Amino acid sequence: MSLRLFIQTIIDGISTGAIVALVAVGLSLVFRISRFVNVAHVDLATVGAYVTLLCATSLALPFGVAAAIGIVVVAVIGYLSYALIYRRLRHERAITLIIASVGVAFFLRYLVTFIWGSNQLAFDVPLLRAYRFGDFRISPYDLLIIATALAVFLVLHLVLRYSAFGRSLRAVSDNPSLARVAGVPTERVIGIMWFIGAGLAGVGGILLGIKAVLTPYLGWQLLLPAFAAVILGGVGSVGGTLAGALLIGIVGEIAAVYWLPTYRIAAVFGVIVVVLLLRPQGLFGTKAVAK
Amino acid sequence: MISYLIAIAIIGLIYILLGLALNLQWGQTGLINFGHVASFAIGAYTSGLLSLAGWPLPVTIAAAAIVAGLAAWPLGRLTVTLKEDYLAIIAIGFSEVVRSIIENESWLTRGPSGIPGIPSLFADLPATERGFAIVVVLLIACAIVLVLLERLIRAPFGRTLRAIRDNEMAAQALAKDIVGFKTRSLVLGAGIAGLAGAFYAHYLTFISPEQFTPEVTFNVWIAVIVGGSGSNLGTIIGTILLIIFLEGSRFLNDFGLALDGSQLGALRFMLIGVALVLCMLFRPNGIIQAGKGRS
Repeated sequence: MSLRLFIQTIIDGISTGAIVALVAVGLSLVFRISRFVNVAHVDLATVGAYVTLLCATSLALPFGVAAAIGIVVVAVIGYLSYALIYRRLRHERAITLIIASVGVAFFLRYLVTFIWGSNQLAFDVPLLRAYRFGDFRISPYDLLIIATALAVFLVLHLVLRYSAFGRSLRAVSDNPSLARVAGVPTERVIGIMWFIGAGLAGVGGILLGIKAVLTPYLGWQLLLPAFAAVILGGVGSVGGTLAGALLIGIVGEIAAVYWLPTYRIAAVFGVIVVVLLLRPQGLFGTKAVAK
Repeated sequence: MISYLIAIAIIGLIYILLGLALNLQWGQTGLINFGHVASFAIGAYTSGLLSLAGWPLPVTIAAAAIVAGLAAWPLGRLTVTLKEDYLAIIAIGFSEVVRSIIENESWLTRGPSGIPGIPSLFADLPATERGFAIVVVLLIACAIVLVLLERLIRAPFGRTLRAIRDNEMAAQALAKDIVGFKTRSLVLGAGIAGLAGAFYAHYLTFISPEQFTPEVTFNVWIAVIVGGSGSNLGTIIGTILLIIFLEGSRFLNDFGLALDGSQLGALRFMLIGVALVLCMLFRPNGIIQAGKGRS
């Protein structure tokens, strides 16, 4: 009985962790290239979920199309926030960029509140019966979430490792001036990176909207878990971020089930503190991950 | 009308205390404390609960400052190894954890429904006189804190804080105890925020977790940033501007905007967000720019 509950908890944790991973990877890339914690990144997830809701219900588009629009809108917002704000501040200290990102976060979150109100909303997706594997249940949506995350990370890994864009991105993150001298179109590479990172946050937000409910704080709840995943995985390491996020998802779920649901956040906070004290470069990362 | 003005004055003075505290941590020391509201909440709950247990108010208010300060101590020690932006997220985490503890540990804090019936300051005075008396006490508290901070800023302690803020490596090379100074700055600021929380509890006589959201933190931040980080006078002016903005935006509907209450609140925070971005883009030293000559 108790073993069953434990394994069920782990399964739920993996699904939560998959969502965290999608949000965390953009946070990690921005952190690695633009060198600040973009607090507004998680609020992009919120915007993605609400734009999808708007397209799916008010415009009555098929859910897949609505989600695609939501992801593109978020990616464009992410790119614009870089082009209009953060790029101009790139020579400032990290502090200035973080405060500006808090401003962007506030703007996005309360724009959502302004338009849709602060009540809980939900996607109009059919309630599906959970698959049974022996004693365990797993909902088709959890499977969808996990499969999406794994597919995204596989593609991302291949792109970063083998494509020309990936090589340029790594060059820019290792040594921006050298990359520029070598003819890498630095600006364009960073812009594309913001576009992709923001779009992935949108994917995470939509999946969380399917799993739970939509509130203007949907993304904000992900800030600490996503940050924890980045720290655990080592900044800038895509594979590390995925592993860190899954671990955080499981730890949070265990805390929620065996302690109190609202202490999920305390458990995640505890993980961050312990990791920063003992292994600031991350569990899976080394300082030279970027190479 | 007069009671409305008194209410604004009291909230404004409480925010000035919070602003002065943050200005010590951020403006003087460069600590990105995004968890300021946690100290405010700890102060409010400490004083509220102790006074309900029968302790006299002056003692509970002092206890609020001490407990809030002590609670910030581990956070200060943590900053040792942390980059400045890590502290920002850790501090947000700290304030969220404090809020979730307040929501859950009902045996102590009565949970989400909050604590009603907290003894008021000057409870035996009639309403208007009571308000005036609280304003006077808060003015005195602000004046004491201001004088204390100004003296501190001019003392070697303050110079060291600014040295750490401007060039941590150089300060370390001069054998300054970076961790110790940062921690003391954080703890002292948290104590002042706790004091503000105690006054808040004994003015409203009701506190609940939803009064202590991250929005409070960022209200204070915008006041300090607009006023010009590093300057106490600028912080006070920034806070007054913030209060005028928060109160003034209540009357937006009189100009023909038909917004309901929550939309108005949302619009207010959207504007605060825009203001933060614009400040960073165009006036990172604040609109008043009084702090420049001092460092």
